[in-house]
Amino acid sequence: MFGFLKKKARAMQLQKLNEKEQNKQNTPQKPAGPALTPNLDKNLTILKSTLGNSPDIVIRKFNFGPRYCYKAALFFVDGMVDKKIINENIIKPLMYDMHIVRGEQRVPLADIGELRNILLSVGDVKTVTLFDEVVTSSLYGNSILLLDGFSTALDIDTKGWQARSIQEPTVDKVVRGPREGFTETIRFNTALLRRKILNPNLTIEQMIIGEQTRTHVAIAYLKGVTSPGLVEEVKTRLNRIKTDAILESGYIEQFIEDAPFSIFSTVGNTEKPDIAAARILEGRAAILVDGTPFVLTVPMLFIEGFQAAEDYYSRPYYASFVRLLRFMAFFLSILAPATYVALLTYHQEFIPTPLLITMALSVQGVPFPALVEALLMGLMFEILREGGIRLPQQVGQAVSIVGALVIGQAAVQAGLVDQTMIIVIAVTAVSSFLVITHTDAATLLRFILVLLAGALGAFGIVIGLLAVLVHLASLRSFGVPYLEPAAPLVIGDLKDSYIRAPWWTMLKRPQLIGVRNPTRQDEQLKPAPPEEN
Amino acid sequence: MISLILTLMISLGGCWDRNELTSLAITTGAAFDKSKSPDLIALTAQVINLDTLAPAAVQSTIAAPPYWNIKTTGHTVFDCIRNASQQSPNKLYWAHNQIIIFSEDLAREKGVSEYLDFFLRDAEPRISIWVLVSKGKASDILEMDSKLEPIPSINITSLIENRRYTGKASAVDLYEFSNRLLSEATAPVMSLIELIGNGEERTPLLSGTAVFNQDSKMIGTLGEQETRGMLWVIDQFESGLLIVEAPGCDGQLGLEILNSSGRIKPELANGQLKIKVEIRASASLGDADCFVDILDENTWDSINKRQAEAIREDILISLQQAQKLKADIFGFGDAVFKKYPREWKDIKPDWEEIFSALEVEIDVQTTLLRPNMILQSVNKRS
Repeated sequence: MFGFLKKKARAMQLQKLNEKEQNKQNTPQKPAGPALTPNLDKNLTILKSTLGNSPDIVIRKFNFGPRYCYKAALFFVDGMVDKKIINENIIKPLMYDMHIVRGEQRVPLADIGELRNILLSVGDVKTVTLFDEVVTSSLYGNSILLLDGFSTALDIDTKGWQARSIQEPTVDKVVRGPREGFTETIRFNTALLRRKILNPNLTIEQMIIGEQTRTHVAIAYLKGVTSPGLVEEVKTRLNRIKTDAILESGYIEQFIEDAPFSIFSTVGNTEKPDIAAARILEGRAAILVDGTPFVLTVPMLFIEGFQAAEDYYSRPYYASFVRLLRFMAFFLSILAPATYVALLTYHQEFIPTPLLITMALSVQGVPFPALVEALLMGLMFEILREGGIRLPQQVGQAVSIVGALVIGQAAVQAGLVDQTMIIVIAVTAVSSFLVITHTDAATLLRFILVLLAGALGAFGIVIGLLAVLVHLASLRSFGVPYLEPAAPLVIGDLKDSYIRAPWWTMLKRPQLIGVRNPTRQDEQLKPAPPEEN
Repeated sequence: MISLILTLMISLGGCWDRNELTSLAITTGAAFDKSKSPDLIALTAQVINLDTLAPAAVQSTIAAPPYWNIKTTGHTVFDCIRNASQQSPNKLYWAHNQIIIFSEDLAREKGVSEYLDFFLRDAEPRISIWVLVSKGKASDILEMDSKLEPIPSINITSLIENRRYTGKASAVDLYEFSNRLLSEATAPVMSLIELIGNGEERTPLLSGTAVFNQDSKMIGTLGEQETRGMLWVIDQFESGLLIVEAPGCDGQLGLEILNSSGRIKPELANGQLKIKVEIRASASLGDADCFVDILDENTWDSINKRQAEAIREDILISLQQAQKLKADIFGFGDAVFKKYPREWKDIKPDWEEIFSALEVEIDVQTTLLRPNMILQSVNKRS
């Protein structure tokens, strides 16, 4: 039966492939699009018809030059531009300073580039010839200077929209370490990366994804460290994306991830430039998306969820302790309710007698089986959490208080839930926030394991964990095994896994990621007092 | 497809063996007495009564005991236990059972082996539960006036664990008892418990040892000193006090045993079996009720000698009693079997007789380690 189904599936795949090929042939390569004409009015009419009569499209017509002989128009989108630049550095030089520069000579302008060279005091000015280019760059905050009699226009960088300033991100907070976070503007973000890595090898390649949104997406990597194969693969996967909109890096993530059906994420993300820089320095590639502070990094390992930026900034001993703590908390967060349910329904003999009596006392009179209780309380907590996140802060607090009262006190007093269960759920809830990256997966796993524990006891928990382990071991993220360095065992990389070894011992980059240039630092960097003679 | 199969597999499992904690009666003790009819078994099972342990009930003035003793009868032990569900709304749960008590008359007349089968065969009860013999009715023990620890059977468990401070009672779990019962030579033993005081204030006293024969019938008892002698030899003497005469003054010393080991070495020479018992013990000076000059080397040595002498005396008394009962409580027979498996075949049929006349050499070597916190006593009485 399986063979038959497989064949059928394969046949359907082939058919789809064929159709795709045919579609490709039917849509020929897009032409370069119409070019600008020397007639200003005609150009403006075409632009108006392309962009419609939106109120934010501004066309400022003016004359300048000796005896105002040149007819010009400045074309920009209101709100996207810095008006001060337009007034001071474009219109003013053209209308006033031209007299000073050229006097009253009526030497005609040979080339529109001349204006750029002698008059416009703006950093980035390009010449454009196509309507498409004009539209695209004006929509991204540039101003277009069109001149009557020329079929080229000047594309002047006047970007200056209202943007959120660089702030401390709400996740990955640190006591010690940089507090700046990425913002919604891709240019700020690339700049933040450059500030961390001043090496010219830091390469940023930009592309536009999204048929409708035309979102700017950038790949950042360190030439000579990141393997070219990885960069190629990232580009291939990004180029594959033909979609309407990229509003957040999550869109990209879901188009390029290796295991779309896994509850575990195989693409990392961060809101902090120092984390992104550290990952790039290990040999990863970062994908920056305009419009979101979340930068993707690939490949991603399971262990990344347990590594916080501060581990590397603080001394190794406490950092290692916190690492172990996070592992413990992760297992606690997926296993605590399931274990409690299994103990209460199947394995009462595992519990020491005095503890059993205490537990029996707290369970006494509770009308629900332990499984139902665990599911109810777990759901209740998730509801409260979701409610607390989305609501405005003041209302969110109110929700938390009501929830805490309802769950913590009223339910126990009413005899609907036993006290020990409350403690178990509370411990679970708190510990699930220690490993933020895997919180989604942990939440789902927790419910699955509770169900298994309710049906099969400890046996069910073991089966569930085994299935998860097998699944994790089968995952790859851009060619790197997800469980590296545990499986496959990479001894050197264990220095930065369950513990965080001192910096002077971490001589190599992660072996499977930093293959291209494995050496991170010199040997014998161990600090020591100077030897006495 | 695969997930469908998995889902079906899990749901087909169908919560087999599921027991909600609220539907269980946690049994902590079992007592067997002679029943009126010789065919029937009388079981008293002690279950925890959670209602009276709840915080609200503890504060209330009505002092109901925190346990409930269910008395049932049946043809077998299992039958008794199942019959208990005619009285109890919750199923008896045996995984937390701590003790089994047999009344002395039952143990002497019927033997205990038929009662133990269920506890060894069934999956729920543990093999590490303590077995005891009670002087008087066993069910009375489970109804005793339990001080400090409200549940009698758990109280008794603590008493058994406390025997390590005195060495005056033995602690035998089901596993050890069964092993001894299955052995060809070693006599099974159990702890011995009785109630002292009268009326409402009947408190337990764990003291001495009950000795069984290979048919699991009780044949006699060991007193406190005899029990200590046995514990020395079978290497189960954990700690306890040795009371010896103080050298050089009129009073007594309490020596606390810190470490001890006992080894049995059988020797067969010219058809003559001889057992050598080697005891190594070290002690500290726990208290002195007269002025003993421990800074004097001779006094130190003489305390040490008296320590060894006291131990030897314990063992001798114990051996006498065992030989009188013809019960090899020390496991000499097993030691012989391990060392001389071929010769054991000849010895085995007459073992009881051989044992009762066995020559035992006791070699005790002791160390007095330290006088603890003070050197000379503040007590100047000589």
